[in-house]
Amino acid sequence: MTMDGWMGKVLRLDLTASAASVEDLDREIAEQYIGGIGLGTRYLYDEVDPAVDALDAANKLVLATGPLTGTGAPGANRYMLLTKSPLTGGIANSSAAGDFACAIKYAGFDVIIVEGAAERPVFVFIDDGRVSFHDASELWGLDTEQTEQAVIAATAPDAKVNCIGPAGEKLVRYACVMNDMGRAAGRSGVGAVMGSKRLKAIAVRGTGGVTIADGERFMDAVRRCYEALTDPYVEHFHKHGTPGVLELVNTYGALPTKNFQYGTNPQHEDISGERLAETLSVRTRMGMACPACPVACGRVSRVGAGETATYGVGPEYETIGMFGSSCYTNDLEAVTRANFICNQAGMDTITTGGSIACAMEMYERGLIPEADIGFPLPFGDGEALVRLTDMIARREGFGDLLAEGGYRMAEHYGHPEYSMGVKKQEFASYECRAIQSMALAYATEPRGACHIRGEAQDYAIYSVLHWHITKDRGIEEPLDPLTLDEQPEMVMELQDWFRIIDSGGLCNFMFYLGMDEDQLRDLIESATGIDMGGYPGLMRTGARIFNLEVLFNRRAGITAAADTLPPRMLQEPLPDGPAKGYVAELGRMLPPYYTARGWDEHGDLTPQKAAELGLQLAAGT
Amino acid sequence: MPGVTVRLFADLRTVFGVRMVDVPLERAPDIACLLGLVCDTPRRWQAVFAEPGVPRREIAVLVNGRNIRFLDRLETKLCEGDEVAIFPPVYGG
Repeated sequence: MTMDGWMGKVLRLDLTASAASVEDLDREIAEQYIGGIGLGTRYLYDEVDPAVDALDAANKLVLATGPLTGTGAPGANRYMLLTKSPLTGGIANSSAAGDFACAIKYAGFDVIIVEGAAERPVFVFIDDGRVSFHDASELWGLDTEQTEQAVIAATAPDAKVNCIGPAGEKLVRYACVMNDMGRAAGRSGVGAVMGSKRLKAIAVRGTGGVTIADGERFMDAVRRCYEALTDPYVEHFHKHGTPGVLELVNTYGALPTKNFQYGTNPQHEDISGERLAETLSVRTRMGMACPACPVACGRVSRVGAGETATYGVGPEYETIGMFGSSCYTNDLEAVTRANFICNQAGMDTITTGGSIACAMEMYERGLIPEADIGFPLPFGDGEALVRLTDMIARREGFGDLLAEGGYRMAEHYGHPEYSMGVKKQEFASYECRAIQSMALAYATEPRGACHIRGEAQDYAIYSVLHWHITKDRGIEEPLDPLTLDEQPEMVMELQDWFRIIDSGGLCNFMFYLGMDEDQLRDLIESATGIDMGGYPGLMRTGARIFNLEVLFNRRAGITAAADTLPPRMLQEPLPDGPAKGYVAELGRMLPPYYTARGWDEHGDLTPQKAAELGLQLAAGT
Repeated sequence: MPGVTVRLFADLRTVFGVRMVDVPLERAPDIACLLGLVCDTPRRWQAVFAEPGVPRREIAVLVNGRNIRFLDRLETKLCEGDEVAIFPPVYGG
């Protein structure tokens, strides 16, 4: 059966047997789960025993594009990597944009499933549907930039590559997968799973295209989306990218400082987006854009001077927040050097920064002997930050312990309470005592603490008010970040809505700037020819995906008891800023959240709700 | 100097030509007076206001980190040492 939007094919790579096979994409499942995070979760749920060790060959790695990926719709340039996480023990879904994502579609596939493990390092070349396995022994140990160049040289000049660096090879539990010289599927350790399979890289050369069900309607929808993205303030994003939010976050008292001990940083100006543009940025009129992107938020920076200057992608806001403020270096050069190490080693900057901040606090409290680390590790020491980041990537000395993640490191010393995260994954760069909706979003996100699967900060501090979530409630102004009113239902709806963005294959940025649920639905429907059932149907699909992620976690042994926050957030009033005196009121938000989800009082999906979402077959219970 | 400190962010720094300005409290006892004082050119006024007495929806004005929408809006009283921050829309962290 021919399909539009979707390519209709799934590529299965068996690394144990060095064999590839192609299957048809099940149209009914595609309609129920769309693509990206939705389709990938369904494959993971159906094919991987959640009890398996994440780094065992029985775990699988699912690469899933969306039906809009590569179509030219604005920001439709992403793919999702899904697997069982070696960091959280639950579901991992980590997304990246770039030519690599589009190339999967152009080569003829919606989904690539990697299973088994190779005996020796390999890379795979997918050349318009022809698959070959190659020895990668000589690539093992190369950084991600070297690897990408070497794989392109060995395959085709127009091949697009994703790969791991030394951190993935050494199974750092938060290793990421890099593609297109600087884009990262950053969180939850997807790179460690790729490393456990001894898969160094996947190169894809695709010369085909994506067919569209209703070309006229689709082009009309695309035109209206681009019109919605004509924002008079978009130049700010060109110039400052995501670091442009840092001073606003600090003003709201939500900038993590010294491992989330404080919510404001007196030296915030030293690490602001403006300061980055004035100092290290080398593209200050327009950032680096992914395919079909009118925003171009990507930073390119330089550290050092003359012949020793180093160039690279980043730092993003999250990286600056964690390395710059939570580790309190307040030094953009140190932040950028650590960022470049993470890019080259293939390592999540958020968890790296959060883990080091945790170690810094424990060092200052005398809970980690200096002899264990090998050098002093106080807050603010940029040199120590850069040195330790490199040690983690190499699993050298104390870096070997930190490569397990901040939670396991802190637990090793008997004090897991100093690890700031959820489900053993570090918080992003938002202090949730100052944004109460964020506390609920952090606690309930299936992949662990996360800021982009349900962006509760958007309607609280970023004035994003054009989605149904706010419009349908008559909310015309930003919500007070300290209020709890309506948060349980709104966070739930955000989580479900973002599942659709991440299933379509689009970038969240398009939706801050002007696009909404109806436009995304119009794009998906006109590209694929399906009827999503209006806005209610779209949200039902989002809820189906979210619940299936939770079901995977439950089968992996992660119960609702893990929907919690560190004691600091729940018990210690924030000591500074506009949220001074506040704790995270999770206990007041969680029960109504479970009720809104249609779950029982234990936080488990009820049979009635499962049936309503069409999950009775997938659940198997 | 005692008074109220106004900090401008992102593209508003270009519009206003400054990052920060100190205003004596007697000239800015509340937010309405303060904005009237600092938005003293057509370009500056248009950057902050949609119409007379109505700030643009996407502009965030915060007093000590609290959005005036959660306080008394334009009638929010100011005190010695208060910090007022004015932001254009920023998103995407």
